[in-house]
Amino acid sequence: MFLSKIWFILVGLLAGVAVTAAFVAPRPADRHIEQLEGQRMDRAQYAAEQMLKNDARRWIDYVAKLGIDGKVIDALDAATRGTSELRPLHDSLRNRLRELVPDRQSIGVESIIAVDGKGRVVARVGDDEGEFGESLAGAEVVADALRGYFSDDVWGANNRLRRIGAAPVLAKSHDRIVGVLVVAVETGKRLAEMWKRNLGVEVAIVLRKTVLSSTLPEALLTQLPEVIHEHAAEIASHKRTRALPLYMGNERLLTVAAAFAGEASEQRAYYVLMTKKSPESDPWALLSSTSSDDLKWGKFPWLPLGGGILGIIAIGLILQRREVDGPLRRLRNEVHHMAKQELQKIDDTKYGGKLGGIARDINATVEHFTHAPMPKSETAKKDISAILDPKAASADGKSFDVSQAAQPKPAVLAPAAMAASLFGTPKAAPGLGGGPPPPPLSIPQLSPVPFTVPAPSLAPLAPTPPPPPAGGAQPPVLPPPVGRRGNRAGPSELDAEDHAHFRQVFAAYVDLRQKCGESIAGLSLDRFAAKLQSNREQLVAKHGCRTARFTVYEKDGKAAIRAAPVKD
Amino acid sequence: MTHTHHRRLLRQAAVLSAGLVAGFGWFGPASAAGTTVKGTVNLPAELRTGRVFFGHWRVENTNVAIQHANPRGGTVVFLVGPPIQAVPPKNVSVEISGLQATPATVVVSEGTVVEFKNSDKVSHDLSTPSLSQIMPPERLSAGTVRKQRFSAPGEYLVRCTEYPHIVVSVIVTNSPLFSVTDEKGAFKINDVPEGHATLKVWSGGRWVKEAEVDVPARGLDLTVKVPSASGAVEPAEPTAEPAKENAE
Repeated sequence: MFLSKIWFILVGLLAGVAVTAAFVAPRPADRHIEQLEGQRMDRAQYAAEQMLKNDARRWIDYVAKLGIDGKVIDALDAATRGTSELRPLHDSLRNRLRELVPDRQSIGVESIIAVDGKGRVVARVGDDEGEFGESLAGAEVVADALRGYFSDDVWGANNRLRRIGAAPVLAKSHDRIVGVLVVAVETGKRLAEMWKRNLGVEVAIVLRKTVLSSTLPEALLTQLPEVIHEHAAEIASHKRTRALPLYMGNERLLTVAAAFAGEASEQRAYYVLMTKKSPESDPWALLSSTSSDDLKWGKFPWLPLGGGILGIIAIGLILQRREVDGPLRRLRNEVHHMAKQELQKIDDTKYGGKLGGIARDINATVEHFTHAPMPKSETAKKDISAILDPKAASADGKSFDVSQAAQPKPAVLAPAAMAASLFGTPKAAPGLGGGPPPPPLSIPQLSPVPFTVPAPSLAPLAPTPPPPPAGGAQPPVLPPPVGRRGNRAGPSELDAEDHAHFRQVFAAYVDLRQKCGESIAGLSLDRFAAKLQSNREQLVAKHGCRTARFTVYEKDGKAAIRAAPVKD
Repeated sequence: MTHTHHRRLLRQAAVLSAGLVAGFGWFGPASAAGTTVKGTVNLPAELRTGRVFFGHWRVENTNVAIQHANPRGGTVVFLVGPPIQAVPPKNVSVEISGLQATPATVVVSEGTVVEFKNSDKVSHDLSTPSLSQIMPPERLSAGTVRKQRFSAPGEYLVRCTEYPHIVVSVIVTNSPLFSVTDEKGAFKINDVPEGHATLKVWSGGRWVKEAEVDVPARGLDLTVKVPSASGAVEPAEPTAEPAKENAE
């Protein structure tokens, strides 16, 4: 489970990093895009200002050319000198101007005003054509022209915005100024559309709190005058605003506002350049702005992404199988084997973590239901022989061979030596004919873990008459049981229960040896019982148990006996 | 003889009386009304252009000499500080005609009513934008008059919303020590008490110069140079007159 957990943590961290990157990574790009868009708007504003300037010069030149017309000069000269009535001059001059500017509306001219040297209006074409005689001398552009300047201005009177160009009209003698021609050019829809075509941006023209014209629906721009007014100080000092984000309905615009030149600058007349801002760069906005084209096979790294995801899943599954599914399956098999009495206990050393705990719990549960002690943990799994003498224990540490003990011995062994011979491994034990005596045994300290015995090991204890010995060997004779003697057997006394148990064990042992093809010659119940008794006493002394029970089983094709202490 | 003596005595008394009257007439009024401060105000180019709002272009024609701009009484010199006798208010009229206001600057006493008369064929929306509570926007139709009382000392700019170049400066003060400059920038303030004073110049709708001066009994002749707001240094103009005191 350790690697699986580590893997899941790593995958979680990777996902966290990916989500963080998804949210954070677009920000620098967003700032860069916004900066580029701002620069683009700055360039557009500069271009618009240059176009306004060029346009102003164009209109100044336009009226200057009108001012060299002989009839215009004559009419204005006469009006200035007062040599003729003003009305006939008005009529003739108006007609002449109409002839000179036949395409007035198509070129965007709203009106042309002819002013004499005293500042009086002599004639108009366009707006208020019938009116004349009033003075315009106070208008700065007219006053400038009367002084000898060609100049321009922007007027914002009567809720209209007009670009003005004015040129002095010189007498034919070129020695004095006889009047001024003023042209007023429409500054609204036509200008906005032209800028949109040439600059590639949306345009709005604002006068005070009104959007005069716009290439965008004006209903979206209701807040625009107020927003610009909030930046009036910035416009006054820098001639324009920086690129401002502006939210109009669902539209996200980037805007730059600048003031018109001339008097209109005092009247809060602005032109506003707008472009649709790139969408927000948070993952959701980015996702919403993607198209199917972005997910095409050649544009999207499907293979690396799919491979990566499959790899992550595969590694997770492998780890899961190795650390969870596999051990669970093995545990289940072992439990099945236990249920079939093919296994005494689960080897909990093979399982780590919680599965190991489950295995130990199963072992403990089995012990509880069988009321028989058995080795509980891997540290206490050694059988009696290993406990009494690990050196003398059999190879698997759980069995001992009593054949040697059952064989006639020339001399009686000391208890320790007898235990060694009793719990020694079959291979190490010499044959009945003798052999080197076993090494002296040292009894180690007992592990505090209680003994457990699996139920199947206790099952075949019913007394069965031993079969006739093969090869003419006389079967061992079972002595009659002696009377019971209390709850606890003495070191050398055998009660009826013990006799019965020893007889059963002896009978089972002889039977198994015969089945295994081992010789039963020389087996004696007395010596067999003495060995068991001796072994039992050692167990009782060591573990303080009430008695011990012995089980016969087959090991490596040979009969063996297992001892298990009984506490109650 | 007695008659001759009496006539001689009467003649002597008359001469003495005439001498006394003449003496008082020479010295008395001078000490009571003060002296005269006069001089010339040299405005920078930006205030002599005659134009407030510029477009993109302003190009001279190459045939006729450029004429000087009409200052329209837009520059006023004040002397502040000497003890004065308050001037009672009297109504002042400003006429707007030909898209220009005349005079462009009026100096009035506290409580004076200024009449704005629209002689144009178009309407004018007059107000004091920076002090809208003093004079809120109001449309002045052609041929009509709007009367506005100015009760508190100070400087007020009355503007036309439709034609922003129309600006009337109303300076409310009880002092009589001021003078509107002529086309050449000359000014003259009479009856100035001897002593220390502050000279201030109003032009183009703002205070453009302030200087400390000591007014002697014999009077003062000043050349007031107004610096450029942009800091530009203008070339010195040649003059045939002897150097005068400068109010730098």
